[in-house]
Amino acid sequence: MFTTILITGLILGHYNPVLSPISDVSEKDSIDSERQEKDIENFPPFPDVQDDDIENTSIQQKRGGILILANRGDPPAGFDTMRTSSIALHHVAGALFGPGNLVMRCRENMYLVCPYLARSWFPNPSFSEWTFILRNDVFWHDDTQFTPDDVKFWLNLAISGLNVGDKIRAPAYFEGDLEEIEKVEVLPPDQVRITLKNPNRFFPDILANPRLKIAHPRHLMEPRMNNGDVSISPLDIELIGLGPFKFKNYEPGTIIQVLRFENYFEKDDRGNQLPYLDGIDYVIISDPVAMDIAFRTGRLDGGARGFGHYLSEERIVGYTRDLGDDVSFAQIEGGTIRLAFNVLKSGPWQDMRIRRAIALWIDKESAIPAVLGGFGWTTPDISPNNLFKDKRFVIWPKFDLEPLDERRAKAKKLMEEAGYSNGFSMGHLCRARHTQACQFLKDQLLGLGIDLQLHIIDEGEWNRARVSLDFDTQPGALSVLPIPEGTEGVYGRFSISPDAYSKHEDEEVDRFYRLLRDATTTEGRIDIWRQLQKYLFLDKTYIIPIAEATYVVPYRTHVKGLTIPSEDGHTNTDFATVWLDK
Amino acid sequence: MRQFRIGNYLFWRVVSLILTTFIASVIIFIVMRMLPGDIVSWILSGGGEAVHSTEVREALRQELGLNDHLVVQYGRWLWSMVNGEFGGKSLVNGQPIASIVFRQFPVTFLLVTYAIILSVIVSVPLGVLAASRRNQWQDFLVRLITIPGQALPNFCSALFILLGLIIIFRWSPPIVYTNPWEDLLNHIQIILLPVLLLTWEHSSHIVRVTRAYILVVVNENYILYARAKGLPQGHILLRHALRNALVPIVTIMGLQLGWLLSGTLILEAIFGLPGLGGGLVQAALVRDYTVVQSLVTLLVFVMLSVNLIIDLIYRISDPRISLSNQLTHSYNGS
Repeated sequence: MFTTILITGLILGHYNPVLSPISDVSEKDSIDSERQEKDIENFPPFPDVQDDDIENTSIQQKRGGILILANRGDPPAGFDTMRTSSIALHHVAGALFGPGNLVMRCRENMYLVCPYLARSWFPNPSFSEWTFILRNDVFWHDDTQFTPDDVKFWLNLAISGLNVGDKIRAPAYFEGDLEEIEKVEVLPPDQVRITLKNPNRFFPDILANPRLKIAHPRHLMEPRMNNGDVSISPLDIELIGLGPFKFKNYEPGTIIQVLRFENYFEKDDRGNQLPYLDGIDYVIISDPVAMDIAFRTGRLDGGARGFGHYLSEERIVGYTRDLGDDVSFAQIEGGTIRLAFNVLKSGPWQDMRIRRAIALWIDKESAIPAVLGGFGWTTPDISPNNLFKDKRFVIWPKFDLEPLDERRAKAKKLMEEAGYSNGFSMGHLCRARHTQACQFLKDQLLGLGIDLQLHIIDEGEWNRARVSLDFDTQPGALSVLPIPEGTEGVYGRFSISPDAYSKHEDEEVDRFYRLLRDATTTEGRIDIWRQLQKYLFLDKTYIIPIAEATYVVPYRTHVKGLTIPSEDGHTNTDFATVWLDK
Repeated sequence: MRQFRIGNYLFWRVVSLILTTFIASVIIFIVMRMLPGDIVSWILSGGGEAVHSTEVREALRQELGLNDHLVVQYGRWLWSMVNGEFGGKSLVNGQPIASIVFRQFPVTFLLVTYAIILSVIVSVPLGVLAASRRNQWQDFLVRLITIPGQALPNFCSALFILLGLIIIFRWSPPIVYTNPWEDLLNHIQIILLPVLLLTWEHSSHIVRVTRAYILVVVNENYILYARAKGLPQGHILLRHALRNALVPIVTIMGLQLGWLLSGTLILEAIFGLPGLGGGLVQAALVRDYTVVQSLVTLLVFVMLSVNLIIDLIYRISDPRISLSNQLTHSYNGS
């Protein structure tokens, strides 16, 4: 019986090539300095998702319905947004805890900061104090009013953790982002004043990170923590949050269900209360193929976010064949694949000429079909490529714009000058889930005579090894960091930032980050950021950015009102503006 | 006297079971701690993507008790196993492991039980049929079914079948698991395919073993005597040959339990079943020490218990086996 189904299925199935792949850009175009503009015309081939539904006031959003989304795993750490930034958590956390904290990334333009739990804010003249005025219509899901004391509790817990007797609660993993906070004061009845150790004109930008979600109600957690239950998590208190949806049910390994919170404060442009949906069901599907099957047979309205679940060209074939116009594809700029060097470990790569040679040699364009499933583009690292909304961090002249054969000739010359014309052997830390990228690098470097030894490791070992000095090179994480200030953790000196992709102790990098903090205008910030990128990727070549992935998430076309961020899949996961047109 | 010997035998077997489980738990504990990797970094980095400081990492390590001496950690875990907490809490999500076990175990138990029952119903008659029709078309047909069952990895078959179902029928199993007492129809729809796949794999072994042992037994003298007496062939096969062939068949079934449990690992992930297998694999990958220790120790205990039960079944199915011989039989697997 099974064999019959198998054979019949294979006979009846057929393969259609994807039309107009996103990555189909010729090498000639890559040296065109105005390629950014051409990319707009080529990108994307699929209809983008429907920001117009929010802005177009003639559309009448329908209320009701349950949105069914895939989630790539159980949210870890008891749904605690201070413990982990896992997308398995944040895909759900947006609905429960909201898209931000006092502020959020604007839905229309994620590079701008919009009010959320605070209705306004202002700095002092020296930008060392920021005062936030809270909304007075924000309630927790148990209908307790949200107050400035909640903000103070949350910030102190995130920055300092807690000690009760001999029990300890660790600070938040993102405490480094908030380490400039010296003091948090409550100014009754509705204000919070945050004093910084050093002035920072762009502090709200840092706060607007969607990972920084307030999931810790003081009135529920503080008494229990003071009684010794310091490790209490949001799950322990029934996931009481501030977001548009409240907790209904959680069956680990199976499903998370949330329902509309009737007392939610956000309204649309017409004054209608959000959210439109009655609820959301997040079905836990850890296997990407199982997700594809469920979506293609109509059991899901939207796909999961997270590496592995994002679609490739091959997988999209099945979607378009089975669903035709009933499916659309959201595209989000994702993480970068790169090669980062440990220059604190002795080896040929300590010579800058070797690193430059490798950077010139790699054919970055070919990484897009080979590694990224056809979706992505070559770009310097950490450049938010929001083509449609904001170009403030874009319009960046690319590095190494000569044709490939010229670059490779230069590379050979540099290797010769460095005394390694016969090549050498070099290790590479390779995550088991990303072996394609590792194999790509290995194949590329063979031509230069470099034998890249792949050390393939699982996730448990990855998280130990990448912060150590044991390896020669590594790919770095797939993190997305839309603002420059968030990058010191990954580009800084090893002694300050053990998570840094490249291990170095270059104090010049410190100087750039100091300048960034002291910048007084956006233009000045952009200029310093570009200088830093040039220093890291060109002058010193500590890191070779190769290509940036474009994450593709499927949605049924009856799902309207999605606000898909141009990058960072953690953004806009509240789904407050989503409605179902069926 | 005989009852005393059985009681004595049972007592020492139970002592041996507990001792073996304890030793296994120590080995599991040591092996997990020796593995490279860091669960704390995994938690804080969100699966390897976010940055965090060394201070936060050390603080969380202390909070989770991972800075305590290894003996203290083992002792704490062992006590929680004994007092019903099943190992304490998951390091990854803080869930009580007892709740994880009580939630996941029934899913895997149902899956395995359905597969075993179906395998017995299907494989023993097929094995008898193949043996009685040796080298005829019935025998060849049975072998045609069982060889792929043994050769193909079950996850491979699963994916082919799921894709075939989509392409032909535009249908896939439900994606939300329910227990049979919650929604029987949904339960059947979601569990049917993995059960059939496990049954196919499991019963393929049993069919071949049944066929082989029946072919051995039918040449015994007592079978020739039964034929000489004029007994019908069916009566000879079922009342005499099968009963004597059952001993090794039951052995294989018991040994197959380990295979069955491992077979559920990937199938649970593919079909979205929230069972022990998928949970164990995920916990191992991220070094959730307490969950892995507890679940593996539990599985060891279950396997040893099943072996003990099988040994006792020998005694019932074959009175010739004495208690002193039984030890030899159980370890020789014959």
